[in-house]
Amino acid sequence: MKSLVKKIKRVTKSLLDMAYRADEAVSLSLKSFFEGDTNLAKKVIANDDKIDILENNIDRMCLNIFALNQPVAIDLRSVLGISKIDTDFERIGDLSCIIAERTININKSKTFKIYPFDRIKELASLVQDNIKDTIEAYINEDSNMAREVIFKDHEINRLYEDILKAIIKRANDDPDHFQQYVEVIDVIKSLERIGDRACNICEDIIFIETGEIIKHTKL
Amino acid sequence: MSDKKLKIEAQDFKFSYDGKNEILHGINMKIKEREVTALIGPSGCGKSTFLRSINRMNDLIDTRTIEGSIAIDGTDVYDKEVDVTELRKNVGMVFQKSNPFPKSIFDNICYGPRIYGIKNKAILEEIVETSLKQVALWDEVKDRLNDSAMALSGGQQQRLCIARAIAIQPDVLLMDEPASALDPIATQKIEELVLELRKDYTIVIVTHNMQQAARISKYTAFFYMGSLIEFDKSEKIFTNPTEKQTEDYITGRFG
Repeated sequence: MKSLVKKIKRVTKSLLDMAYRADEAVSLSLKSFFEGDTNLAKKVIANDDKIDILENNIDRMCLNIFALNQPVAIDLRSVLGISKIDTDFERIGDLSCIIAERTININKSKTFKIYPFDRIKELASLVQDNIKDTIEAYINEDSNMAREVIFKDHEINRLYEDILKAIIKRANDDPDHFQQYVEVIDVIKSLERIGDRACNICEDIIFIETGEIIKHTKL
Repeated sequence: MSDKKLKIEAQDFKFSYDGKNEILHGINMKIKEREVTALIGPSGCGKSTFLRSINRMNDLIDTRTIEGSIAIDGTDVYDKEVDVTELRKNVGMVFQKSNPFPKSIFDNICYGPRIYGIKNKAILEEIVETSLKQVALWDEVKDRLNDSAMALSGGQQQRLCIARAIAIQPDVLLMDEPASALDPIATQKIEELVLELRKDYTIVIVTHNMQQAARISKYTAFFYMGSLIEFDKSEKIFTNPTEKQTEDYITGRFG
């Protein structure tokens, strides 16, 4: 049975590798967006393959464990949780690519300035904090921290709504850059979705640690 | 736990084989009627001793001592008034190693009913057919009922033993690792059979195969060093047990 523990350790290591890459993809895509760095944005898109490959590897490892080791109790919850969490990190990678793609489009305009810059920065910072806390909650098997992430997501959603309204208002006053405002809306929408994915992961962390299924319940 | 009737209830049941070393330290357990209850735990944990206490198989050991009670339908099986032969008619048992009598298939099934006075050939034939059908063995042996039971395969012999146990229409079936000596296909047949039989019988099964316990039982009891550590629905035990000891055992982190 010790071989099962080893296998779970190995797949956990791969998941963390994926988590750090997804976290990095978010950071770099946001850096490219705020600094208008097209080359960096292209790098984020190019790196996404590695995250996709990791997802496939992790799914295969989980499938093997289910078939060959028939895990139960905490082992079962861990492997089931990992096979769900990796899907969310893969999507976080994809959403970072969307931010990078929109950045490339926005940079084609010489006259457009990101608006509302500071509030989007604030949103980005909240989302990045939540991803970091999610990874930490996973590593420390900390369901309380996971609950806090879910709780903090409400603030992300509120800020997203505020920014969305501000952008729509501004776009009406500045129709020449309508296309760019739509791209920025995609960026903030992606950020909000990254926040949702972090919440999904936290729900799985709580499931792994406590056996409690809190998906689709209000926390 | 469920709305089914209580069938067997152990209350502070203690057991010793020699009057000195206590093997079971006060077991309290409520077993539901017409459900499968699995007893799991490492070798020497007392699960088989407990199983054998239910139909007083341990009475064969002179030096054994007991305290507390095990009641079936509210009557303590250790009550002085209880007729042990009648008790064992009511509580059938199937063992790890199939043990057909060196007789024909037909006579194996009729052995119990004949002891209880059934002589009429037509009734006996009916019992044989019904019992063999219940264990899904009828089609395989109906043309050779007079052949020796010893000629059957291991899996068939075990199903024959189950048919023999139910021929006397017990209420309760005790099974002590009934599939541990069988290949996967024969094991699957036994498991399917247990799931069928639970409609008519209260089944208590000891198994070392935890996946088997998970597959066939509604409730699982984890025994360790003579104590009942945890008793709950199998889905709870195998996905999120309450006790650390249970988790350590079922995930193989013991010792």
